[in-house]
Amino acid sequence: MDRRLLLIAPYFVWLVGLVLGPFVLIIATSFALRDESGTLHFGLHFDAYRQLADPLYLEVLGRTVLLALAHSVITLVAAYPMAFFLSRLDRTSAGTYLTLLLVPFWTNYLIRLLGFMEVLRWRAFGMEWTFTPKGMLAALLYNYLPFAVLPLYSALEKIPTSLIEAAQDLGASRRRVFTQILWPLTRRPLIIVFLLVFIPALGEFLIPAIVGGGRSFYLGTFLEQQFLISRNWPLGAAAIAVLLGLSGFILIFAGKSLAEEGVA
Amino acid sequence: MKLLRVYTLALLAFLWMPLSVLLFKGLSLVAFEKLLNSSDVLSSFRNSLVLAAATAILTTVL
Repeated sequence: MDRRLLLIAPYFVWLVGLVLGPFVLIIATSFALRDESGTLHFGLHFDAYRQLADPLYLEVLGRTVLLALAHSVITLVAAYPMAFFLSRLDRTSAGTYLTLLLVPFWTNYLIRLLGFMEVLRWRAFGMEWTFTPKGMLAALLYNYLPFAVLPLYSALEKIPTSLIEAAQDLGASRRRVFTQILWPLTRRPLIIVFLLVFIPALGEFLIPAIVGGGRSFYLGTFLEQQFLISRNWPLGAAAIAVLLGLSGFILIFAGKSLAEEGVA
Repeated sequence: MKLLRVYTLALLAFLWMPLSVLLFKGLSLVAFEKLLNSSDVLSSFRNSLVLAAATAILTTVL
C-alpha cells in the first residue's frame, strides 16, 4: 500500500467514524418517526421538520441567531483594539499579555462560568445582570474573547508600524488610518473571526442554562430538552440539521466573499 | 497607546475576575486541606490527568 495512504488512514478512520458517522446518524434520526412508546422508526418522515416549523420553535431559532449575532459584533469590537495594542508591542511584552489572556482559559469551562455568575451578582453599573440577555452577552464575551483576539493579533502583527507612521506623517487622522489602512487589511481575518465566534455561539448550551437561568429557550437549551427530557430525538436531530445547514450556508457565503477577495 | 494599554488591562481584569473571585472566596486553607484529604477528589484528579494525557497523545499522533 502507498505509504501516504497508510499515513492518512488513522485520520480517515477518525473522520468517517467520529465525524461523518454521527452526522449521518443525526440526519437519519431527523427523518425518523417516534411512536407513543418512544421507539424510533427510521424512514423518510418529515414530521420532525413540520414540528420545527411551529412559530414557537422558529422564535427560539430567531432568538438564538440574534444573540449570537449581537455577541459576535460585541466580541469583535472589544477584541480589535486589544489585538491592535498587542500587535504594536515587542515580542516579549506581547507574549506576557497573551499569556495573561490565555491562562484563565486553562480552567474548566463550568468553573469559569460559576465564577462569572458571582461577578454578575455584584450588579455592576446598578443593573441586574443575572438571568438576563445582557448577562448572557457578557458571559459570551468573556468566553469567546481570546478566540477573537488571537487571530486578529496574528493578522494585525503583519502590518508594519512604518506603514501606519507613514500615513500619520502624511497627515492622516487616526480615523483615516483605521478606515484606509487597518480596515482593508484586516477585513478578511475579521470575517474568519466572526465565524469563529458566531457558529459556536449558535449551539451554546451552558451560558443560556446557567447565566440565562434557563428562563428563555435558546437552541442549546432546546436541544438539551429534546434529547434528555422530552426524549424527542427526531425533533432535536432536525434542529441540529437546521443548525448545520445554517452554519454551512454562512460558511459558503463567507468562503465566496473571501474567494472574491483572493483569499480562499 | 496609553489609552489602549488601559483598555487592554481592563479587559484582562474582566477575564481574571471570575477566577479570582472563586480563588479568594472565603480565603482559608481549610478547603485545600479537605481537597487533599479526600480520596474521591484525588482519584478523580488522577482520572482526569490520565484522560487528558491520553487525549493529548492520541490527538498529536493523529
